[in-house]
Amino acid sequence: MTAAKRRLLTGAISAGMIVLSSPAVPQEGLVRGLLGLPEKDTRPPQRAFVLPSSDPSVSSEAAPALRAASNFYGMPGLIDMPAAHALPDGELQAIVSSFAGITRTTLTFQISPRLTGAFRYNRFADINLDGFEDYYDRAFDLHYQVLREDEDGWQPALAVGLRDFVGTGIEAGEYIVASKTFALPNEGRLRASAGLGWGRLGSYGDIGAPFGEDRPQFVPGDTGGEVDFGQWFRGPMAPFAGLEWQPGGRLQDLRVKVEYSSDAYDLEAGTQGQFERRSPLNFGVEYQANDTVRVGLYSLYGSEIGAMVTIAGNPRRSGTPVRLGGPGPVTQRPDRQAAPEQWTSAWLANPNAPKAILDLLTPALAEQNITVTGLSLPGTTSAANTAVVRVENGGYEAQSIVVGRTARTMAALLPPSVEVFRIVIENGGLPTGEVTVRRSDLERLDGTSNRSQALAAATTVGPAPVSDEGVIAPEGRYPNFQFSFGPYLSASLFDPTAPVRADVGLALTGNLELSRGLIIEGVIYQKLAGNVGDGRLPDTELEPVRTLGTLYADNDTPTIRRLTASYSAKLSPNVYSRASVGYFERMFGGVSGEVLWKPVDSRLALGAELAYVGQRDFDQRFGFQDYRVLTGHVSAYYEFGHGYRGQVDVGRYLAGDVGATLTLTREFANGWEVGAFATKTNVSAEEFGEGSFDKGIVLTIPMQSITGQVGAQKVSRQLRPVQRDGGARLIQEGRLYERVRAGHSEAIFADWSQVWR
Amino acid sequence: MAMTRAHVRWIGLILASVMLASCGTQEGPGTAGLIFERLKGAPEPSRFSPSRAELAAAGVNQPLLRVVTQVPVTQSAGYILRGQANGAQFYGANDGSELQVRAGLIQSTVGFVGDLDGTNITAPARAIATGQGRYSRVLRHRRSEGKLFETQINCTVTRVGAEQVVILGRSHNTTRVAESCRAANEDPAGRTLAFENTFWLENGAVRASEQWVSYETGTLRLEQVLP
Repeated sequence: MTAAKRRLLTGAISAGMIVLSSPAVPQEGLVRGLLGLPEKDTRPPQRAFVLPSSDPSVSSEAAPALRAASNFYGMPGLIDMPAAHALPDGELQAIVSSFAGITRTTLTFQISPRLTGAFRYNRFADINLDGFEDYYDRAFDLHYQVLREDEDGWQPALAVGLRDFVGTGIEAGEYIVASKTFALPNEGRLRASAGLGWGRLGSYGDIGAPFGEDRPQFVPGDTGGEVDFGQWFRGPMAPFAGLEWQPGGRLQDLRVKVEYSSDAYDLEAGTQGQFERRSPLNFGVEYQANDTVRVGLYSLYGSEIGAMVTIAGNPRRSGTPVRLGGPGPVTQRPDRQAAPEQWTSAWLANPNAPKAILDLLTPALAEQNITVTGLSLPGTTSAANTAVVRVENGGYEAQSIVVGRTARTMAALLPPSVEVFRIVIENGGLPTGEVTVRRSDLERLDGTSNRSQALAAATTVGPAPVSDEGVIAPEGRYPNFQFSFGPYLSASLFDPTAPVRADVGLALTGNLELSRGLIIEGVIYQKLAGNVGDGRLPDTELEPVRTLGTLYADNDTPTIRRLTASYSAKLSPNVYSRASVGYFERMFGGVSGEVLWKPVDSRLALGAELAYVGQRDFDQRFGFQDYRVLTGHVSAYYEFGHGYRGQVDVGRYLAGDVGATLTLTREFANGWEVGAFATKTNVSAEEFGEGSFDKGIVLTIPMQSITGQVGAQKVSRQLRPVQRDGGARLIQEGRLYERVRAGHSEAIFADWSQVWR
Repeated sequence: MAMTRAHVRWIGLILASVMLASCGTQEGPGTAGLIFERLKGAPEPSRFSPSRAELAAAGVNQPLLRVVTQVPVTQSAGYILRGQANGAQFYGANDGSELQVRAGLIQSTVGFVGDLDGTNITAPARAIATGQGRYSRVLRHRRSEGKLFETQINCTVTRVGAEQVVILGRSHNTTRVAESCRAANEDPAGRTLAFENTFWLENGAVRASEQWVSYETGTLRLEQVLP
């Protein structure tokens, strides 16, 4: 196209942006029920990407008639009291609320259509407990919608919840609540909620203790962190209720709330005298500024003014769309009857053919962020009409895009006699799955009305070949060196003396691929400013494998954050391996080995990892301290479908303690991941210290959802209430499971609708 | 508050960090640079309204569509024919967005929010060409979760009457035909999809149209500039 033509066909249409965007286990049915997921999809995996209209996760695609709002605890509710609705599925909210010196900062996640979870950090200003000037506390909440509301019938929504069920218990309470929404003229809505509370929620106006009086009281300075099943729904029980009115018409962004609170605030308004609780009635008005921001102003307990700001986002819908150029039509082969000479296989006799084809394929796919790592032509390792191309994904969230674009490029460049395309998905030099597409299917289906489903039915995914015999690599493929240089931000949270500490600096990252699967990589940090190194050094009864973090952060000279050499290889159709040596993380280095069993079409994977590591010097150069440990785990991974997956790791941790970690993660199509983990080992709560056991949440954000550009870079952060030494696992980049599953059936067909993009 | 030397140093540091984020073997402006680009705001809306003479001077002689979008703002762009497959024509714009068109009807889109993955065209094309008919269609949308979502709609086509349509300064005598569609069922969000498409036929072929694509993209106006 000429430049003049290109100028004329100016076409930056903003609207033209798109978002790119798991063997049976006995508990699967239970997990599905708990998460509110549909019954197990028994259709073949090829069709799993078509969403049935009965899928309840669809229900939150549009804004509901009455937007689901959160209370001061960041959970579905009124003002200070809960309500029975659920947030839109997948919703992530950051909520800050404050009144009477009590500031609650909550991160809330709608884990499934019915289950809401939250992690909260509280500041009780001027409450002098356990020697602190201000009292800081962390809490986890859960809210489960047992019954969905029938908006046209009589059935209300019904929910049960646990508040601060795994913290110190300063906010501990349980509830059961029902909510019913009524339609008003002019599309207005009124939601009435009423419930019964225990713990904090049963501390005012109680009507008895039907499940027993004996409920332990909050103890300042307690290590907290233990789940105390015995106290749930015990002690006094009190009713609460409230109304939520959303006017219709031009005032539809406003909401007026009134509630009767059953929380006596015994500690704050009683023994601590932080405020005077004159009334059980609370009032508030909220304004929904847009889909993201909601603000509210409130009158609480007859004496206080409160405010709340909610920032909401939904990985199912939000993010910067990634713009991908349309690939154009599939190149059709000439008619075989009309041009039989073009269909011969004589070209295979030409010894230059493989190189010539690689020279065409490699740049054509590189332009589309796909790296060719190898090619084998018909008759070498495959049937006489089959070509095999090995590729690495350059950053697409949907693996099906890689499959589609590779197949179309092969159709454009390979001689007509090649009928079968086998596309091997590699990840860091590790061959994972192999997708087989027939060229005639591409030609037949492109331009038809139901091409995605039809191509899925005609496509198979099998294990990638173990051997690379007969595979030729593009010239100059190895060694392959890549580097990047840019800023970093490292934060430390929840230190009572300074809840947020941060370092900023520069990071140099390098990656040298010496041959297929053999990679040397490293990261060097230079801190420029920050105060993480000024943090406290907590006491510990265990080997200090993590609590010395501030000493590692207290460096003004360059530090080697990571420097490793690793080799990955496929041992058999279902078994993968990795061996690594070097400085794995800022605190530990040594040698590590891992094996993983994962059949290509299995939702279950099993793995084992063993490492012998030493504790690094605080300056993070090349030296080690005296502490050495043999650590390792056996792991089971399971994909439940709909983006949910679970992982259990059992083994020995860095401090020498033995136990298990359970991790549950939800992954969205645009690459966002939200997960939670908990580790229990053979150290007692007293030995562990504050928090009693290790737990936290994990948030992974692909940068392409922010930048709108295809790229593999992701930011992943673990958010722990407190970092202690028990249950601490070695940080190891490039573990096998994530690399392998990305090229297997579940991942490929999960996003199959993207195959023609 | 006056800006101190310390403030200036911090601002300089942040800017330097952003700039340095561009360094590396990866092409492009780097992550921080891209975020910076995003913060600068949306680009100016595009306009595609050349004269016929300008098109000829630029050597544009292949089939060309002028496409007007309404969401999020009114914009227009030129889409040239990139190829055909199984009777569907592939029109592409410079931004990479793509329309698959069959008999003047949009069959599929790539590069729009809420892309249409596919819909059956045969019955609607026949009805629109004759100016009357009833049929069912299935719309398959690519949703942000990477899934396809199917909606069955029932449509009625009626002839509205003769109209003159002007496309880049050239007048066309056409027959206006309306396609009125409504989903067979409510979707799980409680919405019942309903839309009306309009087609302007010249000698039995679609010269211009307004076609609903998705909730997110809304309706596209297509004008067949060439041939």
